[in-house]
Amino acid sequence: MEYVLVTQGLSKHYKDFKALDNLTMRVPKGSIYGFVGRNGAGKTTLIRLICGLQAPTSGAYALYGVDSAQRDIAKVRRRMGAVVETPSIYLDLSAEDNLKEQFRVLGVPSDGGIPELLKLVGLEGTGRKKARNFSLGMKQRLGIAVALAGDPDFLVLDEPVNGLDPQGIIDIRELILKLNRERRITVLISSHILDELAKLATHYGFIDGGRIVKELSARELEAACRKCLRVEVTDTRTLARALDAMGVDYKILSDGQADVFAQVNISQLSKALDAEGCELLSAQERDESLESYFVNLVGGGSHD
Amino acid sequence: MTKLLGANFLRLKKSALFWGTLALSFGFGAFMCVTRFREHLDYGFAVSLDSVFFGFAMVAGIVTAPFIPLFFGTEHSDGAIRNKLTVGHSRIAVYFANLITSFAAAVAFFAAYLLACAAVGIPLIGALDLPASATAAALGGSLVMTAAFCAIFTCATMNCSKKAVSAVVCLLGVFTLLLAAVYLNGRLDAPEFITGYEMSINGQVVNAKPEPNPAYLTGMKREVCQFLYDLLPTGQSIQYSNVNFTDPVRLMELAAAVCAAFTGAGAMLFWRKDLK
Repeated sequence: MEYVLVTQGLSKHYKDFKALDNLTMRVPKGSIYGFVGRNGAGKTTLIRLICGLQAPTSGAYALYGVDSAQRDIAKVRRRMGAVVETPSIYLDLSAEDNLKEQFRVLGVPSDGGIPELLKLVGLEGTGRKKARNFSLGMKQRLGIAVALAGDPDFLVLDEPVNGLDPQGIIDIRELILKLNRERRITVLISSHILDELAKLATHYGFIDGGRIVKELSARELEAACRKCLRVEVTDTRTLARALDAMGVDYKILSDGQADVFAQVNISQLSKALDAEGCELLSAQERDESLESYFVNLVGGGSHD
Repeated sequence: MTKLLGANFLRLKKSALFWGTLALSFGFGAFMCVTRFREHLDYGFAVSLDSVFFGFAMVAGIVTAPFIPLFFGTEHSDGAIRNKLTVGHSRIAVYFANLITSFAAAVAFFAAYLLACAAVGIPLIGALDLPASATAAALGGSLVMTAAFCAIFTCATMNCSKKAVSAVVCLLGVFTLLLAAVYLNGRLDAPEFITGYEMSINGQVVNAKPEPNPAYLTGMKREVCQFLYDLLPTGQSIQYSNVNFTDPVRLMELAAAVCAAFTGAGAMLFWRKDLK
């Protein structure tokens, strides 16, 4: 598999605080890589490093196979666009002027691509209105348009839907999917809104304490998030005996509750329990979400 | 760096702050000429364009001190500096492009002031009396001094992530340097001898015999004071605005040294700075 970004033992320390601690990750080409972690886990720090805003304390990363220590890294960066934390736009300029400014920075000879770019992000009708007067969603979309000005192959988005209303979230999601499917842009996206991320990502990286704790594809995650039947009974020891007899995988949660990881015949199970004097009180089908997978993976401890 | 300069000049063209400061510089030039002309009308003083033509040198620091942090500090506060670095521009190129742009803006402010002096001053109080060589020396020296101011304020702006903080630092800095220059000027201008007054026997007040002034600086102290006065861009401001300088080449060398020192230190700090 070809990778756009590979990090090797990347660390970033701020005095005694280890923001990144020997982080190793790989972003496959053409993927939408969901970068998941709690506040302070190191997501934004990693993004700052790969954007060249900060230098790593140790370790290295490679963009399109070019090592961060090589001179050519500057040339390779021309192939990426990023929105780090807040959209990087001049608030006293209009959307069009912001794009003209970025076209100059990139050395794009003609401003001809600006109307198309504005249309792509849905800002074609903003005219001379200054970015200062834009809604949060519009600013976010303008930030993405600026990041797209250089026609990048790799787009880095840090919390792009933070603070957006439901329609704003849908607009950004559709834009990201469009960019990935139609323009084959690889996207690295960090987000706290896990349900939203689950609708986009083809790959996931879970970060905690500055380290990647798990990296997997959406397909692997789906397999890991097993469907189960949560049952409530009067005695789980009796339930365990009955399930053992049926050869079914299960997990006892408490004296009266258990998860059963198979499709069982409820009547059969009820009859088996009844025979041993145990009652089946309820049965509910459950799906493990990305959120519960994340909580199980990094623990449900306190957040910063 | 040409791409960065192109982007900076495009933003300068669209900046209300730039056009406002340019208009202010023009207005200040016109105001100075009219004030001199009224002094001539009201009190009959002989006035010449020489006394106002280099007046901008006096306020070059005060004009650029808020302009540079407010214009370039926006790149930090709005985060737009990230757009330049993320696409592969080096920090040194970003720093120098901003320094060159700030100097170009300062030169435009100076030119607006001179234009006002030419348009308003020449019809009212006549042309310059200064010889061409002195005019050229004062103009050239003022430009190098302006570059020194730009280097100092660019250093502060590029290494401070908060626009308001860098604006306050630059303004406080320029006024502190101005006070220091005025103090040094006062010490250097102190007369060598002072003459008191005495009351004679018949009640008449007569001049006393001149006595050495204890505040008069001599030897090493005078040399150090003179060096600092020449080194400080604000000290040069006073000298150029009064057209009262003896060695313009030395002043230019010192201003160039200040420019190089602040640019070197500023670029080095910016190169190592963790940006957010």
